[in-house]
Amino acid sequence: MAAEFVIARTFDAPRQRVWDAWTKPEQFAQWFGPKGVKTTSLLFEFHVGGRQHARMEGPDGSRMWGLNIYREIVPIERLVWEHGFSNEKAEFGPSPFGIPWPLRLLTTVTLQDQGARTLLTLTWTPLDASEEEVRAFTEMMSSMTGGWTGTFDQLDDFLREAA
Amino acid sequence: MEDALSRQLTAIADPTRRAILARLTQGEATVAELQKPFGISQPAISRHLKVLEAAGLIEASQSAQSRPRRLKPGALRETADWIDHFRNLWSDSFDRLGAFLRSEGANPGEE
Repeated sequence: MAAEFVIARTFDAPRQRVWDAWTKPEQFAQWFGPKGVKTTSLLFEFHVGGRQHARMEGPDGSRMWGLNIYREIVPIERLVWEHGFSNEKAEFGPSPFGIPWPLRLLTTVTLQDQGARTLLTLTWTPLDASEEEVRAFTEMMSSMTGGWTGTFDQLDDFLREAA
Repeated sequence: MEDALSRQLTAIADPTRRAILARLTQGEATVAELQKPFGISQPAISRHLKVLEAAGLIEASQSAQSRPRRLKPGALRETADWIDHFRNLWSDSFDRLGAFLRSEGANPGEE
């Protein structure tokens, strides 16, 4: 079975507006990024082969970089890019989590009409990854499996009780 | 790989060490108690414990001669936070994208 992370959401807006939100830097910056993390866009080259590079700062000041390279752009339908952890210089780099992790993930976003609304589907698939890296990816992205997530959930409970 | 976060990440990269941490969430345990379920030698367990101690994730209690190991509360907070941020990247972002699409910024000329 291919390792794949899929997330879908219906947005109350036509496809063109959803597309603009992904492809116009000033719009993208207004919504993208993990909660509690300050995301700063450093490069936004919107064309096939172009790079998107961003810095993420956690609440404690720790930093990470992300890099995307666009592979396919089909207006208001389909957007494909390679995603990976990066460094200050916009080069792909190993994950800052220190675990085996795919160097690159293929990200595919598709938009479909649902009446006046838009169904957005995003998939993440490891690219050129070893079996161990694929396993780490599957474990971390699935909230159902044991492994780490289980460990962290228990730790969470423990830390709450200890507090 | 020198800072505290890197040491933590190296420590939890190993499945046996993650299992030891999971066991210690149930309460403190001696080296002998930790060794049993994993079926590995005492030197091997001690090596894993040393890595976890160096990373500041566990500590040895002084209360008994067997020096049972226990978790240091809050030790993994930073790492767990980053991993959560990353795992929730898309669901968090989609929440905000939905709000953004309903806002004026995404709807020019329709005020």
